[in-house]
Amino acid sequence: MPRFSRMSQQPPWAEVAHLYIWPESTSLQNAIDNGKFETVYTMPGIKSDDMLVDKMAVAVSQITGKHVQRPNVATNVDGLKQLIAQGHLRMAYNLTTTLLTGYGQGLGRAGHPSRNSFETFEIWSCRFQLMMALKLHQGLVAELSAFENLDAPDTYFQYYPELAQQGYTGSMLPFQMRLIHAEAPRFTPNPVASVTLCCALAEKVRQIINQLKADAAPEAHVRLWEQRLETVLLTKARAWFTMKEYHQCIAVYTELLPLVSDERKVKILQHLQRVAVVIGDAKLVEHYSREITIQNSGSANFYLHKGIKAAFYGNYGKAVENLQAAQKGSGGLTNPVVANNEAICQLYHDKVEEAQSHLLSFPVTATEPILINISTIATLAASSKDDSKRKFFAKSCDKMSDLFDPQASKVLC
Amino acid sequence: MASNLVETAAAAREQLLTLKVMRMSRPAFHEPVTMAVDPADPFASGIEKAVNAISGSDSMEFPVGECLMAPQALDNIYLGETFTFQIVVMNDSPQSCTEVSVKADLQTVKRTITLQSRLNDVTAELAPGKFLSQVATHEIKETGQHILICSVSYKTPDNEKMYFRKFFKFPVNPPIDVRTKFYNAEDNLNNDVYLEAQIRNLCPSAIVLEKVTLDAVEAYICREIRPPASTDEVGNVYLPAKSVRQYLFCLTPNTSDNSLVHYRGLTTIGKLDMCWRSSMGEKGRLQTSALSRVTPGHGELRLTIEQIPGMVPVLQPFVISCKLYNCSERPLDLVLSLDGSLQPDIVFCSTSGQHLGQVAPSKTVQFSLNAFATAAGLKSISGLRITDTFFRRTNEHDEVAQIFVH
Repeated sequence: MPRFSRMSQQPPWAEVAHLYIWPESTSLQNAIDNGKFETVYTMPGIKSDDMLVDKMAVAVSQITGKHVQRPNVATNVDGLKQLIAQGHLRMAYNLTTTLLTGYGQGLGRAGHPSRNSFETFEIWSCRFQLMMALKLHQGLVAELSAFENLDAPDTYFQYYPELAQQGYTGSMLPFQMRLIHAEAPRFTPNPVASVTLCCALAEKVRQIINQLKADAAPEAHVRLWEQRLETVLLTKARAWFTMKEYHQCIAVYTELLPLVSDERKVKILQHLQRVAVVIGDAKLVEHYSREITIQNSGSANFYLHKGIKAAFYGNYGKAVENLQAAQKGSGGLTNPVVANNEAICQLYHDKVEEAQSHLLSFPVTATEPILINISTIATLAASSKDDSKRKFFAKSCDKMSDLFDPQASKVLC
Repeated sequence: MASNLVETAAAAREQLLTLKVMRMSRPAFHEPVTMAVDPADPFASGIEKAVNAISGSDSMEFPVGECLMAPQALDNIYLGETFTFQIVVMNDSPQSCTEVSVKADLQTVKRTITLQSRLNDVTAELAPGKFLSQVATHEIKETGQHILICSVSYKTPDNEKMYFRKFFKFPVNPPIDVRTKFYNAEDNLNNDVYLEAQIRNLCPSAIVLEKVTLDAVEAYICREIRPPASTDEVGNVYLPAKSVRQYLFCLTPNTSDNSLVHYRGLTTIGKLDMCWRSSMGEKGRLQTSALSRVTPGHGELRLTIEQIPGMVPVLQPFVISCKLYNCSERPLDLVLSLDGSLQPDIVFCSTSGQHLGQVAPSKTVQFSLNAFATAAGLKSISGLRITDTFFRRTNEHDEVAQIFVH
């Protein structure tokens, strides 16, 4: 079978066809009916070719004098995957800039025809995901606009006669791109459009699931699309949350609960408890705390939610006890959430020194919340000669990827 | 002259200790970067793993993180909330200090309050690089400018007494606006009065009303009128910013004395007690001042209907039992007359002009009327005229009750 991508490893089409199922759009059907396959509809182009600075490398050099080694990877999609696997998302983003420019879809090329392919769509999808992770929201919305509603004829395999003849069918656009497209309005002045897009996307996914079941497709294929539906609904819940429509947000999570795996159910209930805390509703906090207790007995982080409930009531002594119990059950001293929360509850429980030393003694690579909290507490209770913050950072900074933002983590102040 | 110079020199000399204060508003949750994750995407899971390493979370799908964050920005504080703050006195010098003592006062528009603190202990010693800290709290009971004044006194190794003060200003605003309105439902059948309370959220974000009760005085029995509870409503009352919630209470005088002599004029009904929470569980509580109303006057005489059938067939006679209360402070000599012209469909059978007798102050007299209806429908009883012969004054009582005629 001819390759439909330049990727080094090519799985057989039969194994992956179900990933690309997508109903044909009217414009595609018209193009097929008219036999016209020359028009280029999708004309993307990057809107900024600024390379992101490796802020972590600069901070490490400033604070420790050390020079950070970043990996050397091939200038292709495999290189992208390697960078992502190591957590160097800024380098990965810069690589997408280079790759897309190489494909003629660089700066200034938006609105001009260029050669779209399965590979270029994959790189665009990767770039959009990286922009989400790096909070480059304005650029994301601008670059997404070239893809319109993700159903232009030239985004389907059927539009390319040499591919269609070989039996390739469906959308060449990764489903992940549809998820990001539905979420993107969250970063515009019209976030409610995200809810509308999620509803429409969910409806299409449901139709696909029904079709797969009707066609007696393998269980694994149906399950994947059910998981995709879950992630669409989680996106809808996030959109409501952004708009502070907390009760709408809760309604979507509640709709999801009976559909998901037990493991995910626990995570959703734990999140619902935190949403109830954000709202400030004690009855809801109690309700979800009870649900978590029922659902979660004996699992890791079991006491974490009890600690959060105690903190909600301002009962920090009890919160510390619960978090110490959580520590025993969930990765010991290396669980960053438990360590962080225990320290903060100690701070509120009138034990500043314990809070500080608990954070500074975190034995593995620090997370952003831990770094920020160390800095906040230091503004209160560290002498001017105290360099424990610097030492703590220096201890694990070479294990931190380029995704860490030293400014956001307050490492430099 | 000499002592002035010494004081100036002491002031000019640098302090060995520093004081920091942190307002301990509730810790907020960290909000991590989020993104949907398609399990079949070649990049999404790797990106999620990288982002999770930063946030400490195990999923990119949830907007509310699991980590609590120490306060970084100054939040508003409202009347009815508890002001919680952490004082830290740090010895940032190479010398030990003794007799370290910290006093915290809160100055409001009306007064100055000394706050409880164990840092008042005058025997505390602080080695170089060490600090003393304490969390202190105070319930905010006034609006307007508040000033936290922290005074630190200590001795240097040379036994020199040192002293400095730091001021922290913050405004306090009301979180809610409460408006009340009384509705008098007193008529000839009952003595109830209704209180409507409107609570408006003045905060920039939502609050959750946990409890709104009317603490009525002993003279009244209070009952809240609530809409029927929906089965799928689990939470408390959610009140978004600038929104209003209304509450309705029914107050019934706690007495069988229907003359209500003790309820006349300006009477105190009670206080509204409101408890709420804002984001992250920050609690607040306020009470209104005593709410009062002026009871409507009954004049000298109050007529109540003790008994009347609800329904009666056309042309069938029925009995109306009445009671008259002398609400005045002098005896009345009463004559009952009936004006049948006001309600053509009701015919009185009793004699008009009946002498009811003398009634002492705060006493009652009972009488019955017989009547029948000539047409179907909901009919009012009107036309009762009670004349006091001593002062030749007539009280008119119309629409005193209703009856359904079928």
